[in-house]
Amino acid sequence: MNVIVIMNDSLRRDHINAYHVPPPWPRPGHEGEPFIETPNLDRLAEESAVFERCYIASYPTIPNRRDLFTGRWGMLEAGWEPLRPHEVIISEVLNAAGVVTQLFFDSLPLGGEGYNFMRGFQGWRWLRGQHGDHWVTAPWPVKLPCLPHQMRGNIERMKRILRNSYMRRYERDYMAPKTIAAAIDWLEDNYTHESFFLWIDTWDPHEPFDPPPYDYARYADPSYDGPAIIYPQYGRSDYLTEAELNDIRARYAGEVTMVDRNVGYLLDKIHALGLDKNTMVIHLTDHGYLMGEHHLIGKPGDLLGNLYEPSCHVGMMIRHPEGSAAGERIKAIVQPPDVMPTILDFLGVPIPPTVQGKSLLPLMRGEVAKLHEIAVSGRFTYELPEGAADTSQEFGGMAGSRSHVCARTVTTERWSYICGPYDMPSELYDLDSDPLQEHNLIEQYPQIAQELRQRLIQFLEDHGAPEPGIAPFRK
Amino acid sequence: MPEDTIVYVFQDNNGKWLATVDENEAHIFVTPEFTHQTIETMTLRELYERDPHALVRAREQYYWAEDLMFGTARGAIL
Repeated sequence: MNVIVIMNDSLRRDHINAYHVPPPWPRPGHEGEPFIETPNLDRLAEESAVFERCYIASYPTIPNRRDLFTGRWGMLEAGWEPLRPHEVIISEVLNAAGVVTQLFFDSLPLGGEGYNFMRGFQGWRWLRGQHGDHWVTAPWPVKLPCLPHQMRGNIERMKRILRNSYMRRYERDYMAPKTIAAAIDWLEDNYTHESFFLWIDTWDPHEPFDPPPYDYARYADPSYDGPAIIYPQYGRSDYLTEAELNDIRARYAGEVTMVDRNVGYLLDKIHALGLDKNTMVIHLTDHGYLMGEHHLIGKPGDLLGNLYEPSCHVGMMIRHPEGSAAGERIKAIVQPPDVMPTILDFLGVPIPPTVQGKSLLPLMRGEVAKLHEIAVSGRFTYELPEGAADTSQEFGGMAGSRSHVCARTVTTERWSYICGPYDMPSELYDLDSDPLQEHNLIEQYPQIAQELRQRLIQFLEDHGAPEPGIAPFRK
Repeated sequence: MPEDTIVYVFQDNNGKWLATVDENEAHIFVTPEFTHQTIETMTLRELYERDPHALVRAREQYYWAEDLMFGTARGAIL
């Protein structure tokens, strides 16, 4: 038996048709057309268990990968930092069990600056040139596509991003296509192994939002003549005009469709090689991306860093080769730490005691109705380990707070409670009646908020959070 | 952020007030495309009184002036 994990970074749940989420905004110039086109992920969903209440645990990229690789709620104990030597990770566990392990990635932080998420894989390949990868140095005449105040990061980083993509001509020159194509080649050479574990990690549809022109045109307002804001600055979104915001949304949608098409090539190859008979396929993302909701854009932090639904409610689908739960909609709450034990369970490898998540297979077989009463999501607590180098700034301050605990989002089947630490305010939303979280009910339902706060504290205690990570929530 | 924090204020071509806490950054942002080339120096409170939703670029993101006036610094992203 084999497992293939497809990770597409920053993929909003409402941008995959299979999740049946109403379009979050109109597409000027494309009225009457599909909001998004993801035929390949949709076909995967038809053959998969589709998890409708998957909530991220640690946010964003690196903390999420730590959760996935360790099966733990990493934000309780680790920052945006390299894997720690003692951490028990899935690649090493599978290696020890005799499974061939391979990683393909272009997601820059996994390999850059010593983050070492390749650890334990028998083979790995880092597809170079994504984002601000220190890759191309040629003095090509790149030109900023928008005004400096509209873009995230400094001008030098943006020029590096532009240099990295300057020589693109065909779709195969884009990053997700490159990474997926490399994985397809690997499958042709390796599909006969008795058991393999393949992890494919694409940074797309993450910024820069620069899809092929035909994918952009599919969603862009034909009348737009403004700047190409391919990497908008985070935070309050009203530095953008409505037309600019709409264009960013169109660029993002184009990225999603490009990713979908290339995932389709991978699915075709899996079928062609006969791997759908013996291979579990897991499709994941690490978080969403705000595009104007709550007057916010991107992945803001600090005072603006509360994790609302567009950021923390994500998609997850699992295609079991024996058809377990194929086409079913599973409403139970699941989280990324559940992925590692699911894979180990499927491959018959013992689950290490360090793992906190739970295998999803009993849910898929219908043996249990739920695994978790609540989902807990949050930006990690950023506190550098003794002697560790602060490499986080390479990623533009994405590191989160230094020695501070950020708000945690507690989600139940009905409620979304954003629990503020210290003296920060909390928010409460009824997802049944208010899925867009437009009406904060914290004043109307103080007893619900208090109960959810207590459940959060209990969760933190049960999952080994250090007291400094719990105390700010005790009131 | 303390209300007496000095901010460098400029106006985009849509009439939106923007500010940074770094004077050099403000000069980078006010490109020749801007109709108004002026960079004003004032306190965060003065900016807030001019427009609570004026955008202040700090800690790698945009805040409203009112966010910074009334929010605590917990969980800052540096």
